[in-house]
Amino acid sequence: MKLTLEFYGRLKSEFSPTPIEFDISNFGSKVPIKEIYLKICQSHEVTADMQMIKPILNDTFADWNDVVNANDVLGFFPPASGG
Amino acid sequence: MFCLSKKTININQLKQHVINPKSGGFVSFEGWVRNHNDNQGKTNQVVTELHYEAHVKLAEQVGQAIIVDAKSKFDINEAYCCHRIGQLKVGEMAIWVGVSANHRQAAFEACEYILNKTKAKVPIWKNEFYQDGESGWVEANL
Repeated sequence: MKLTLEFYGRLKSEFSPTPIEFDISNFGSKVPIKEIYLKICQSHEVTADMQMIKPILNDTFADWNDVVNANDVLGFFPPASGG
Repeated sequence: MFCLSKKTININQLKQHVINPKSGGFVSFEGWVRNHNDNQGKTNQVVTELHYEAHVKLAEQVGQAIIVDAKSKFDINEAYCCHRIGQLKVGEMAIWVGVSANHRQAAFEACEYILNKTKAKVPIWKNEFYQDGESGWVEANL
C-alpha cells in the first residue's frame, strides 16, 4: 500500500523538494498520519514537531490521528510565512 | 475576496473591488520585498529576491475565510487581499490589502486584521535568496 508524501516550505529542505512515494505495507491495518510523520522524522533525523507542523490529506486539513488509505496524498505544512 | 497572483499586482484593478458608494473611508496596505533581512541567526543579509510558494487550493480557501471573518467582525463594506506567488525582485509588491468602510476606524482595524491573519494562517511560504548565493526559508514573522 503506497502513499504520496508532499512537503512545503522549509520541510522541502528537511525531507524532499519533490513528492515521494511511501510504502506503508509493513505498518498496521489502520495507520494514523502521526505514525507516518514520526517515521519519516526518524529516517531523516529531523526533530518531530506536531505542534507547529500541520498535516493535510488529499488537499484538506487533517488531524494527526486521521487514518490514511492507499493512494492518498499526504502533505505537511510548516507555519505560514507569507506577507 | 482573496486571490493569489503570479503576475504584478495591479492596484487600480484591485481597488475597483472595494469601491462602494456607502464607504467614506478606504485603507490599503502594500507589502514590498525589501533588500535586507535577519534570518536563521544571520543579521542584515542582503536579499536579492524572494520566491513565494503556496498550496493554492488551501491558500485560496483560508484567505477567503479570513475576508469573510473580517467582514463579520468589523463594520466594513468591502475587503480584498491579493498575495503574489512565484519569483519576486526587491521592490516588488508581495501583498495588497484594501478595505472600505463607512468610517475610517473600522477600515484601519480590518486592514491590519486581514494582513496579520493572512501572514499567520494562509499556507504561503517565503524562500529568500541572498547576495552571497545562499537561500533560506523564512519562518513566520508576525
